[in-house]
Amino acid sequence: MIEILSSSALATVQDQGREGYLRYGVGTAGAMDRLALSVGNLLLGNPEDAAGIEIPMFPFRIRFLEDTAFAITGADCAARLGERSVLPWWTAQASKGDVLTIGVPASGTRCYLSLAGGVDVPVVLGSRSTQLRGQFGGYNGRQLQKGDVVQAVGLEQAAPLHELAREAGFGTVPPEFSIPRPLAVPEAEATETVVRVLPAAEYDCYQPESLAAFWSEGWKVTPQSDRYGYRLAGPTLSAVRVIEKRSHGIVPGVIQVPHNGQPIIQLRDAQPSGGYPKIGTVIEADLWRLAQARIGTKLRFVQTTYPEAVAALEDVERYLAKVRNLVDLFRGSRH
Amino acid sequence: MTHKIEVQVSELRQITSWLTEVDIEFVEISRPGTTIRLTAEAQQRGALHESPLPAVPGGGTAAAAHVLEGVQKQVTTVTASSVGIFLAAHPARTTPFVSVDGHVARGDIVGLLQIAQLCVPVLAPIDGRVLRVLATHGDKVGYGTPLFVLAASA
Amino acid sequence: MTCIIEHASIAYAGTAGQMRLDSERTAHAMKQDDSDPPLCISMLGTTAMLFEAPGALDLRAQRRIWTLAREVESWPGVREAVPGVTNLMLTFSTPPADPGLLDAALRDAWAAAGELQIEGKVVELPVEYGGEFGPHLHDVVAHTGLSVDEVVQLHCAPLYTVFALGSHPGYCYLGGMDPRIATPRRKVPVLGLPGGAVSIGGVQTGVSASTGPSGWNTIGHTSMSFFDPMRDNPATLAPGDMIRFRVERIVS
Repeated sequence: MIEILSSSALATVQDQGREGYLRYGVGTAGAMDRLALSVGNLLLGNPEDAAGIEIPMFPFRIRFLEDTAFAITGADCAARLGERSVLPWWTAQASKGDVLTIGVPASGTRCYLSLAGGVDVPVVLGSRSTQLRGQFGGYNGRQLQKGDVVQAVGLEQAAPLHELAREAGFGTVPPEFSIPRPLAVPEAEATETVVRVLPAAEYDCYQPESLAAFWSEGWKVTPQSDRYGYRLAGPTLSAVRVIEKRSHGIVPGVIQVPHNGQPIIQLRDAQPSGGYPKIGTVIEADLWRLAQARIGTKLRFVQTTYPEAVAALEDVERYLAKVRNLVDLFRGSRH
Repeated sequence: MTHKIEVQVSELRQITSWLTEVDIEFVEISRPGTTIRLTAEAQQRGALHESPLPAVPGGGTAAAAHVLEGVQKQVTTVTASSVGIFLAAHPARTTPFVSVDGHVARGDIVGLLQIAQLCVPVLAPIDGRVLRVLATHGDKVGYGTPLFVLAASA
Repeated sequence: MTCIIEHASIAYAGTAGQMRLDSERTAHAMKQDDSDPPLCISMLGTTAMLFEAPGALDLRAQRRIWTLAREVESWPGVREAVPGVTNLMLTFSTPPADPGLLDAALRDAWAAAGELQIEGKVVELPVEYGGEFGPHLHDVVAHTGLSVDEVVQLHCAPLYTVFALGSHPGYCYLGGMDPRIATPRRKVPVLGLPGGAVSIGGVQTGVSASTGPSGWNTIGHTSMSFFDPMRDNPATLAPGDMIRFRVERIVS
């Protein structure tokens, strides 16, 4: 059980997303960086669908109202439990009264706090994710506020751990060091986030110069970027004619181009349908990379093929499977 | 009360040459009623083999050896708890957890052991000071490989 | 084959390296007429496939989409079949190994799809037009050259069919609006439009189901509940249901 100490932090309760209700106009919501949330749950031995707290704004402080195991994954935000520092991609034990401070990340832009057993909020339409438009799911359908008390489901403790080891915890090698990174041509700057894109239906409607620019330019993530979508700034993408699309379903990662020619990547809180032309889709396997791209930095798009995109998903699954196996062994062997 | 301490020169020579070979800063030899502690000071190391060693260290001129009467200093070696890759810093960071002469508290993370995708902490078992860092970032280590030498806080 | 279908096939085949910037393909794209588009199947990454029906935007095509959705929703690997306005998105639980096979199966299913006759319910919505909750009624008047009364009459006259739900929870895409009151979407969207807002965007009309932004022209307000997440079937309306707007009041 924890108490939120920070105000206006834009933090929300999210799980992997609400699937199966698109036909009612209900988007998936869910964690922007689903990989980070998955790792947090694996470290704790939580069920896969356990919800965590997505923290996109810093600093963020909470107080543990009970002894609780927790995990911090995602951006490295110099977390501290009381005076003791907590490493990134790490699980540790908190004692009642401990204050967890999550600081400004050196890189990346959002991190995830997972609790033993997962965040305990009601399941609505099959998920604990927060649906902000419509105000349901998550913590009362809204962002967390100062004073909110958030319960954890809790877990049956495994064999009692040696005191030092239990307090010190353990962690994983961050996925960016374990999963092969896509390469851009020309090569991307160190501060740029590279993501793979599959062309979408209206790709061929764009001028050749626009297409060339789409693949070679760095696209700036503007301050108007959030869970709804990333609004990008860069060269104007011009279509060969005015495109009027009938309203159709979209998914997170779809890159729409509105009339001003500046692309918007639709993300987890986007409308689940729309009528703007689509130039491409950021592949699902790279959405976690996108989720960590900071405002003010640039994106690079790399053209990929369907089989490569499927293989990239398998890379992510393989990393998670290895982490799952290792954590099981480690948790089982600790005493 | 001082005692006249008789020490075999050859023994001292043997020990000090061993000191320099294994690049350890000091060694203690306990005898009934006496503990001899030999400290190799960095700038003298090269000269240890050549310079004559005092027969009575208490009154000697060589800076290479100090004898502490009846003084015991606790020293602990921190070893690897399993096979893995020793990490002096977290993969996401550049600053090492500790450096020589740094102070640590019992339970502090002083390094990591990477086992495939897992990072297992190497913990300081005592409050103290880091005397030696024995492993380098990226070293493959086995169970029991010495990683750090810590001196207990006074 | 149209350029888009060719393009989609290339995406499946997995040719490595840069796609050719084919000026022929671009030229073909230029000739497309959006009021009478060709059949088009495309991928949305590895997460979904989009089927766009050919021809006019009408109830005939939409009924066939409803049939297609019912057929496709139980196919292996399909997580959900999501109808749009004369289109259908299939989301995947696992990405298909061969999207080309799925593409072919969709075409066959479409060819075989008859018009699903849904016996939908008719819902009457009382609307207060104009005033505080219809701030853009006068913009519609200005654009169309019609009077307030004429706009309201033309808006209330048809029996609208719910083509599909989307956009936000419980929101209905309605078919059947009179093109005489069509008004382009606004340049600057309104943020925080309340649920129940009755709006016109281009040739379409709709009612928002919850507070949110909108680029449409809001002409009135109704107080119907369109969505309740606590219900098993959370949306009040479904494709095939019908809506009639009734004038409650016109506020000048």
